[in-house]
Parts: sequence; C-alpha cells; structure tokens
Amino acid sequence: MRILELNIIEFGNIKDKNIRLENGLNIVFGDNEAGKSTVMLFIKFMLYGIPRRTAKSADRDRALNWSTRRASGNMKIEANGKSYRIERRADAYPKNDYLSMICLETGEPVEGEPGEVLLGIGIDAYESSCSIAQMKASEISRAGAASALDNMLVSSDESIDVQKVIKKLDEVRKEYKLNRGEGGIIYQTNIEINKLSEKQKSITEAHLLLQENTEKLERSEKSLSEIIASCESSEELLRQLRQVETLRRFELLDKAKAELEQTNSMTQEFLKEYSKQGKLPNETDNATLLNAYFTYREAQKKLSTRQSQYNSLPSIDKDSEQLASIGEEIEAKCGASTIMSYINSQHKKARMGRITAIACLCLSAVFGALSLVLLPLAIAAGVLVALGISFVFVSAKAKKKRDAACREYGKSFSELEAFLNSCTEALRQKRISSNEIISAKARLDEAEEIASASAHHLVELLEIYESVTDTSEEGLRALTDKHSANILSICEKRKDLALKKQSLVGRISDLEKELVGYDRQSLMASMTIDAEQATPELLAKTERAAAYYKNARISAEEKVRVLREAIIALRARISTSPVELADKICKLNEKLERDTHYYEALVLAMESIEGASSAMSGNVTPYLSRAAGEMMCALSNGKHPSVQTTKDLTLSVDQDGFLISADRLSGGTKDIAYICLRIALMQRLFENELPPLILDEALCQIDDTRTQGVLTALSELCYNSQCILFTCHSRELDICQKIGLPHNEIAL
Amino acid sequence: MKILHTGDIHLDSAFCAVSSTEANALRQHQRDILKKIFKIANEEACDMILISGDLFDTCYVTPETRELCLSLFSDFQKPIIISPGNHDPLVDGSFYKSSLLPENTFVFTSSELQYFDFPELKTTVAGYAFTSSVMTKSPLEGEVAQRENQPNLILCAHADLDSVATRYAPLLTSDILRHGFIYTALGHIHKVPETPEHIRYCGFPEGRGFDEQGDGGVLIVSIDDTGAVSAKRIITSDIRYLTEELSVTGMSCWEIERAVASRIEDMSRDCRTAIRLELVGVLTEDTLPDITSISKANNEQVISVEIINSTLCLPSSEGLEKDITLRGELYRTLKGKLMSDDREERRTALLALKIGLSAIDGKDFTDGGVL
Ligand SMILES: [Mn+2]
Repeated sequence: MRILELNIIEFGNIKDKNIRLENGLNIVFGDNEAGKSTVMLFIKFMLYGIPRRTAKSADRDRALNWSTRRASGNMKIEANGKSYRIERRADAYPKNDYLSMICLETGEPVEGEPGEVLLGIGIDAYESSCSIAQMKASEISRAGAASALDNMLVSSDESIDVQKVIKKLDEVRKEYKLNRGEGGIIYQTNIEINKLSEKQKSITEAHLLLQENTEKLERSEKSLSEIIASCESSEELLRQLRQVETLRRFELLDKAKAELEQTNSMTQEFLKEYSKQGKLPNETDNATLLNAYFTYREAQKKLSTRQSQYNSLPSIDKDSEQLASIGEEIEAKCGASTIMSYINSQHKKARMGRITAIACLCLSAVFGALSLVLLPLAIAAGVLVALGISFVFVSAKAKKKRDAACREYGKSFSELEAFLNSCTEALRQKRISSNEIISAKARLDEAEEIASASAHHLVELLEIYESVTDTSEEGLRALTDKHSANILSICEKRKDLALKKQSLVGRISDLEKELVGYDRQSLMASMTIDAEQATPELLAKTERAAAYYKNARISAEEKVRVLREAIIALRARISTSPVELADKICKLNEKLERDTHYYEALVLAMESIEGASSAMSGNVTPYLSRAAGEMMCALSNGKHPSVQTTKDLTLSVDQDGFLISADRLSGGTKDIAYICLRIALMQRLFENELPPLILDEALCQIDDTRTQGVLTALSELCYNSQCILFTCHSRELDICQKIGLPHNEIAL
Repeated sequence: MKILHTGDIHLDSAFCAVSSTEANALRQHQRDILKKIFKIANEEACDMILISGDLFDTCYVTPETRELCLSLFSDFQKPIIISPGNHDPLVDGSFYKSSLLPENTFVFTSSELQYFDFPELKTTVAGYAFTSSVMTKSPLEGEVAQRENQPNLILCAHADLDSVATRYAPLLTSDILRHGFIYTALGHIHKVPETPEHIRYCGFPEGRGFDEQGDGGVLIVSIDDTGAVSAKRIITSDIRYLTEELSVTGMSCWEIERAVASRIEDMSRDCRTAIRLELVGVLTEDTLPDITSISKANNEQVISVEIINSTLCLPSSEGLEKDITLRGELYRTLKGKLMSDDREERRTALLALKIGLSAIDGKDFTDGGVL
C-alpha cells in the first residue's frame, strides 16, 4: 500500500494542507511544533478513524481543529493495484463521524474501516508494526527501553511484558480465589450464601412451627374458653346449690330456735309443777332418802341380830348354882387356894412326920441291936424310939387337921382340890354369864334405839312426799322405792331438758356462727334455681363437675401458656422474612455465578496468554531474532553480526564477539536494534505488499555512519513501497544528498 | 366437564434482580395473577381446579398469600385439588396442613397414590404429595387399583415425566397409560414440552425472570361424555420475559441502535415485556452504541431492556487474526473456543479475550472494567 496524497482540510493545528507522497523514501522535514505528529495522526485517523474520548486517549482532542472543533480531510492511496479515496469528517461526537472510501477505478464505495480493509490489520497491529516512533529516551528509562526490546522480541510488541501481564492477571485471580485453602471473593460469597441459607432454613422451620403452634393455640384457646364457660356455669350452679344449702341452714336455725323455746317453756312448766309441791327433788334428795332407808334397814337388821344374840345367851343350872354358892363361900374364906395350901401343908406335915417316925424307929432298932454290942447306943436307941413316937403323934395330929378340913366340904382329900376348883370355876362361870347378859341387853337396847331413830328419820323423809301410814319395814321399803324412782325420773327429765337446751343452744350458736355474713333476704332474692332441684346428688355431681372443670381449666391454661411462650420464642427466632433472605441468596448466587464466570475467563485468559506466549517464543521469537540480526549486521557493516535471545527471552546483541544484553547497549545501538526488530515484524506481517513504513524521529540518536546505512537499507526495503521519515533535523536530508540516495523531500 | 389446570405459580418467590421494595411489588403481582386465574376459572365455569404443585415457592408462605389463598379457595366453592410439589412439600406447619383450609380444597397428603372421588362429576382425581423436596420413587409403580363405578380418572401430579434418574417424581408415560388416566395434569417443567393432548404440563402462569421465557398461562381442559379431552391455553401473564439474539455483524453504531430499537418494538408488541437482547456477531468497539441509553427506551410496553454484548467486540477481529503480536497469538489461541457451539464456552472465551487484551494493553481488566 502506498499513500499518494494527503489532503488535510482541518486537523489539529493544520488547515488546508496538501501533501504528495512518492514511492521509496519520503522525508518530512519541519521544526518542532510544525505538525509532524499531526500529520502522522492524520494518517492514522484516515485509516482507522479517531477513537472516542476516553480517560487514556486524548487523540480525539488532538485531532479536532483547535478553533473549529472539527476534523476533516481526505487521502488518496494505492493498494493491491487499485487506488482509493478515503474521506472523513468528525467532531467532538463519535456518532457524527463520517467516512467514505471509494475505489477510484470503479467509482464504487468500499465498506469497512480502510486500515482493516486495505492493510488487513487492526489499529494496534498498525501501531506496533508500520508506525515506528522514536524510542523516547527521555520517557523510557534505559532499562525500560531495553525491556521494550525484550517485549518486542517475545510478544512482538514493545509495550507488552508477558510476565507482568500474567502477574497482574494472577493478582486479580487471587482476589477471587486463592490457590489453596480459604479466601477470595468467591469463597466469601459461598460462605455467605451458606450462612444465609442456614439462616433461611432455620427461619423457615421457625415459621412452619409458628404456623403449627399458632393454629394449635387457636384451637387451645377455643377449648379453653369452652372450659372456662363450663367451669363458670358449674361454679355458678354450685354457688346456687350452696346458697340453697345456706338457706336450709337458716331454716334449721329457725327450727332450733323454736325447739329451744319449746324446751324452755317445758322446763318452766315442769318447774312450776314441782314448785307446787314446794320442792323440786334432786339427786341429793334421792341419795338422802336412800341413805335414810339404808340406815333404817341396817338398824333393823342389827336390832334383830342383837335380839337373837340376846335370846341365845345360856341360863345357869342348880348344881352350878350350888357349886357357885360354895364357890362364893370359898371366895369368902380367902379362896380355894388358901384352903388348899393349908390342907396341903397339913398333908405334908403328916407325911413328913410319918416318914421321920419310921426313920427314927428304924434307927432305934439298929441302935437297939447295936446296943447289945455297945450299951450306950441303947440310950441313943431309946432316944430315937422316943423321937419316933413323938413324930408319930405329930403326924397323926397333922392328919387329923387335914381330914377335918376335908370333911367340911364332905369330900376326901383327893377329891377336894377338884371340887374346890369346880366350885371356883362355877362361880367364875356364873359371874361371866351374868356380865354377858348385861352387855347383850345393853346392846339390844342401843340397837332398838337406833332402829327407832332411823325409822323415824326415814318416815320423816318419806313424809315429805306423802303421809306414811304403814311404817312396817315392807311398807317403808315400798314407799322408799316408789319415791326414789320418782325422784330419779324427775331428775332424769330435768337433765333431759337441760341437755336438750344445751344442745339446742350449741346448735344455734354454731349455725349463727356459720351464717355470719349471709343475708337471707339477698340470698333468697338471688336464687335462680328451684330449691327442690338442689338434691345432695346434684350438689355432689356439680361439685365433681366444678372440680373437673377447674382442673381442666388449669391444664388448658397451662397448655395455652406453653404455646404462647413457644410462639414468642419462635417469633424471636424470626429476625427477617425468609422470602427477603431468599432474595438476598438469589442475588448472591447471581454474583457468584458472575464472579465464577469472570474467574473462569480470567484463568482462561491467563492460560491462553501463557500458551500464546510460549507459542510465540517457539515460533516468532527465533524468526525475529534471525531477521533482525541479519538486518543489524547489514546496517552496522558487520559490527553486530547477530541478535540473539537468551533462555529467559531477553534480547542480546552480538558486539565484538560478546553478547551484550539490551539494557547495556548504547542508545544508538538500541535504536538500531529497535528499527531492525520493527522492520522484521513488518516483513513478517506483510508478506505480499508492505504498507508505508512511518518513522518518527527514529534516527536522531544514531551516528552519521550508521544513519547512512539505515537510510540506504530503508530505501532498498521500500523501493516498491513507501517509507515516510519524519524529522526535525536536516542531517538525514544532508546524508541523502551526500550519497545521492533518491528521496522525496517534504517541508512542513 | 371443564377443568382449570394450573401449577408452578411459585407464589412468594425470591426476586434477586431488583430492590427489596420492587421484589415485594413483584410478589404482590404474583398474587394478582392468582386472582386472575380464579377469575378465569369462574368465567369459564370450570367444575374444578387442579393445581399440579409448586403453588408456593417455599414451605414458608407469607401471611398475605396465605389469606388470599384461603379466601380465593373458599369463594370458588367447587373442588380445588392440590398436589404439593417439590417447592412446597407437605410438611408440618405448611399451608397444606392448616386446619383453616376450606372444605372444597383437597390436598394429597401421601407420597403414595391417593384418590379423591367426586361422584357428582363422575370423576376421581388421583395424585400424591411431595412430603419433602425430593421424591425418587414413582407413585404409579405397582398394581393399578380398580375403582368402583368406573369414573373418569384424572391424575394431578408434580413430576418429571419420563426422566428416570430425576429426584422429582420420575413418572413414566407407560405407567400413566397403564393406570388409564383420561387426563394427566402435570406440573414441574416450566418450559412446556411437547406431550400428548391428554398428558399436559400447564407451565407457569407468568414468568418470573429470564429463565421463564414468554407468555404464561393456564390450561382449560374440557372432557366430554365420551371421555375425549381437549385443552386450550389461556394467557394469564401480564408481563413476560423474552431473550433474543440480535446479530449485529458489520453494523455501524447507528444501525445497531436502529436494529435494537426495532427489535425491542417487535418483542414488546402484544405484552408488557422485560427484554434481554444478546448482541452477537462481530463488532468493533467504536461502533458499539451507548447501551445504557438504549436500555431506557421510552416505551410503556417495555418493562426493562437488558442488552448483553456477546459480540466479538474487538478493534478488529480480522486485524487480530493477522496480528503478529501477543494479541494476535492470544486471539488465535482462543479462537477455537470463541467459535464453539457451546454458548457458555463462547461467553467465557469472549470474556477471557477481553480480559487478556485489556491486560496486555495495560487497561482495566477487572470485573467492572470488562463486563
Ligand atoms: Mn415449579
């Protein structure tokens, strides 16, 4: 493709300018601000249009004429053997952009962007191939310039640093999803979705439970109110029935009071009746009467005993009477013992005299015999005989006295003592009997007296009740029995009356106590049921029913309470509507889907860039380094025989046998390497027909010798096409003239 | 006999594309559609309503919806037969277990086949309930129960027809035929598939988003004395969601604008429509019109316009094809995927290309910058 003519009507700072371009080398020469870059922009505008205004690109502003704010012009070109006229107009609004391209041979319009249609490349490719700007050493650091060369080699574009791009992509990728473990936007979104889903589930559950419980509560409340109604009606009935009971108590009280009155009047009548008799006998009276009777009976009994005792005393017979009289005599003679002791002493004396006389005589016999032997003893025998004889006399005398005394009682000595004793005994007996009789008599008399006194007392007591005619024991007994029974019955009756009164009083006071606070009239007034209905069975039944309903009410109330509490707790669990949560979850899912899609695209982009990069390093890079190396060698007259790439895809230039990495090359060498690489790229891109090669101040850092080489090479390269060199120095023109290089000079 | 067959109403749905206020308004609109359905049932003098599941979107039913359903049901007076679906299964506390349901509402309660007899209509409606969100066994398997008096046997069910491995009641057409249902009212598949006249999915009554495309409606099923079935669909939706593709290859900026506007006009002709327009084809970035201004098209029939740019929106795809730089290489690497028949793959590749190119050119390639 060749540009034949540029017709700038208004563009940037240029107005109405016509530039004709030739084949081969065109050198556009002008001072700074003369409009060199405006012309370059105009060419780009004609081929690709101007982009809309963005934060990054001020191209549109630069393209619009400063005063008219419009851009317009046309360009004539030749491509693929045909010539075309491209015309464009533009203002600040992209929608007003106007474009026409006409094939001048056929006169037919051609659709599409001219650059794409004619060059077959997009604007980016155009800028990275056909259009070579100066490597602005002031803007790009040396290292930057070197890396631009590296980039060009690896990505065929000086501005593309693949590693940096991938790194940047990876940084963003990590924001979405970390390689391992937890983290990243996607993970967070997932977590949040799970959290919300859990919450939604729990709240939905709570809602369902709430619904269930609410309906249960409604049913329970309904049944509770039914129970309460039953409870109240049964209690009301119970109250009525108890009221009937109370009224019945009032009636009982009335009855008791009436009875008490009756009892009182009975008591009074009774008292009156007995007060007529002057005395109301009591139990003491009965006791006194019975005592008197018993005393009387005892006295009677004793009297008869005494009588029989007295009667049974024995009488004294004649012999005893005789003996007693003898006894009295004896007693008069100082008693039987005295008599007997006299007799006995006489008896002893007689016996002793006898014994002594015998002894004396015996002795005298002995002595007498002995006297024959001894005469003196005869005297003793004689004396003894004499003594014997005297004792015989004494004994005889004592015997005589004894017998005399015995004869007085007509009894022998041996009988006398017994006789005397019997007489004495008889006398003693006689005396005893008579004493007994006397005392018995006295006792009898006493008993008679007591008996009569007691009888008298009894009669006196009986006479209180009735005059006593029959005072016999039988009569008295009957009377006593009669009156005692009488008194007792009176007492009984009195007691009965008293008891009755007491119990009535007690009952009345109990009832009155019970009925305190009850008003009979109002009770009667508030009665709604028939008292007759109020049977005890009904009362018991109603009480049972009331108790049942009370319990039922308690349990129903408990149930309602529990349900209400459960409902409150459930309500507390429901912090938000599940539907709103679902909205949120739905939104998050959408975000997740978008993020995931983006993430996948990001990963794909990274993989693709890496793939593309490695494809290029295996394919494009070797070609570029070879082609650029050949050109470099030619341009530098063999000074730099090759351009090479290292394993890490950085560019090195062979210089004096050493490989110098791009960042250590001089500015001029770098520029040459740059131009070589660009031209190599362009040659690869446009195999058939080269587009115009546009160089903007691309040679200013290169020394004269090498500039001469470059210009010569460009002239050869673009022999059948076009090279447009923009420069502000006359050096390139001078060199061309000096070596006679054909060129078209255009002054701005 | 006339039957109104509806389902998949999904009352109380979540709406994520809009604000919560708007979502509530949309839910209110769903209730209005339910009212409309009952109005149609009355106007068409239907003898019963079959609801083949997913009346509600979840087990949770908002108080407003609950009240509306109860009053509509009881006002209808004639039988309403409901077969709970996977979205609104019969669980404790769910609407279907409410004691407040009117007497004319018959809800299946078991995952086994149940029958409701309507002797006055000489009809028996069979059905079952989802008792959780999953049902892997077909209730139609096994012996066919013999019915007395041989009434018209109808099936009302939420099911995934002839889809053996489904988790949503795998009913088989052969089983349906074996049971001798003269009409089978199905729910669950929202995009109504081709089925025989007597086995029908009712579809949704109104779309809720772009995944429910087009007009929504209910079926009015007439069964004559011979047992012949005919069904007609009555449109119930006030609004619809439509997604269409628009090829804009080679169009200039204003041509695209014009094409989009006229397409929007076409799409929103007979109904208020939410429009999603996917621009496809190849386009240069400069020729893409201001999408936001198109979205705000001043047309009352248009609820919203969403324009998805699925064009190969490149400086020049032809240029990229020939681009010898990394850009071109990237394009060529992704090209297979960009031309894929799989729409998702195509989308991802396109986005990857945009991201890659932006990243290469040092432009913003983040979510907001590219999408
Ligand atoms: Mn559904």
